[in-house]
Amino acid sequence: MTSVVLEFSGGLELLVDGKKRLEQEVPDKLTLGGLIGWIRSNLIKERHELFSQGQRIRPGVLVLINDVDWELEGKETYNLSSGDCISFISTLHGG
Amino acid sequence: MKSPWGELQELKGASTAQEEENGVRQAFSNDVLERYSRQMLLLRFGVEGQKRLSQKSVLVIGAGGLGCPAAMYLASAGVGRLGLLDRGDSVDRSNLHRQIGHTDASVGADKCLSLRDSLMRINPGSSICTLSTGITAKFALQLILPFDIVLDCTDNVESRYIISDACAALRKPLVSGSAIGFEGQLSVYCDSEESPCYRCIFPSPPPPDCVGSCDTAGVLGPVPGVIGTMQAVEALKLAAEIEGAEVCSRRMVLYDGLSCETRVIRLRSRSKTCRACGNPEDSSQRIVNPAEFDYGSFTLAGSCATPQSTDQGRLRATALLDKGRLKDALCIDVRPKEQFDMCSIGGFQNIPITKLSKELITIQNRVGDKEIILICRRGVDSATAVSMMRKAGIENATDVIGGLDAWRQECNPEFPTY
Repeated sequence: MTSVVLEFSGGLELLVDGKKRLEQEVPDKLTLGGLIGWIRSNLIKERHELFSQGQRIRPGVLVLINDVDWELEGKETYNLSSGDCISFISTLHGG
Repeated sequence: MKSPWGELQELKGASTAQEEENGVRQAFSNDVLERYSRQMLLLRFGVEGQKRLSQKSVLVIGAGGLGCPAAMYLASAGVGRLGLLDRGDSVDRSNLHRQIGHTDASVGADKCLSLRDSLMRINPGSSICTLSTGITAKFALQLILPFDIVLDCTDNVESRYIISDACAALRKPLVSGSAIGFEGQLSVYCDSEESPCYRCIFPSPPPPDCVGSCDTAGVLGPVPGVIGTMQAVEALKLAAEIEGAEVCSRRMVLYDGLSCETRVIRLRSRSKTCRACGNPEDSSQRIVNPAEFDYGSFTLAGSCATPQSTDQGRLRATALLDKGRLKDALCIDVRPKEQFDMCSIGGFQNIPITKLSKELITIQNRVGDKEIILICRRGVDSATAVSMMRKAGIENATDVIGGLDAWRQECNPEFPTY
């Protein structure tokens, strides 16, 4: 197993019992797309569509790999390493 | 096309005093020197910063929780011209805990005019123009064109795309803020060649049912205050062209008031294939003018909401006046606990919709052949709850059309508004 830190904010934490930060063991050799599918199946109990469609994150969620926009790191194809911090941030619209 | 703002006077800049009057040489009039002295004392700001600021115009879109503090700081600092744009909402008492430019005396007044009055009280020399129309795709370019810097202080997805697309088309710096609950976000778009627009970062809108609002999800008043104030800081850096200042572009500030944590994350650069500020492969996809783009369909795409059921079999609020019926039924209010605790109809028990699926078996065992009456704030969640129950085999459930809002309007005007 690989040990990673998962962060949820902007309301996404409500999908994982209000937890904003999880230290989590996940299967080895996952890509980030694979991780999204794994989270959907293993951590999220209901309203799965608010997180992703399969391995595709829903629009309006920023994904960060160690505090950097995943767009700069290969998005779903990024290979997870032990100790990585992956953040899922829903954008806010209120004002 | 004629500007929706009408004829705007040329920006004169802060009044400069005559040189060498009575043997005194001064950069500005006494009033200006005194009013803005504390920011002019700043090493990187000085007299030149004040001059530049007084020759710039800033448009604040949204006169709410973000727009109030942002506009108050900008007017206080002596921005040359301030534009206020809001969709014509009037001030509501439930706005006052966060929209600090409005007062109890202005409840019911137009938000733009109420905020303008506050700004004029702070700085009577301000030049402020207002339009109570909101940003619309049709006039977006004309509304933004006369201004040097734009602040997005709105509260909805559609406006955010319209404003960003217009700023991308005109290459106007856009200071974008948002807040809800205990959290806020801030970023600056379109301020340089490499700087992305909002659409570069979010090419597709979120499904509408994923979008919370302060109205339903709640918000801690100072949280939009923090973000609106940071928007003013960014706008002042841009307007005064403060030397060495680094604008929050290609970055996003995430503020979490609950944990008191602030993070700054690094964002991608401008996207070459962005529909608003790049060159998409299919050039017909390029948005040149927001007036030609259908924002309604765009932001509704991807909705995972179930289509609204018909009102057949649902109750009018007036049915709740039948006390005997209520007594015999199992009455469930599916709003969040926080709302139920504020006010509810006697005889209703609270099972929030988020907890309903876990309770279905208990309900089924308890209800027998009793009727189940469900209610919520506006009649949307209660309809969803009815269909959840039907799927679980509970047939005798119904709900109230229009929810507690309808109950207040049709039966009991004393029921609190919140």
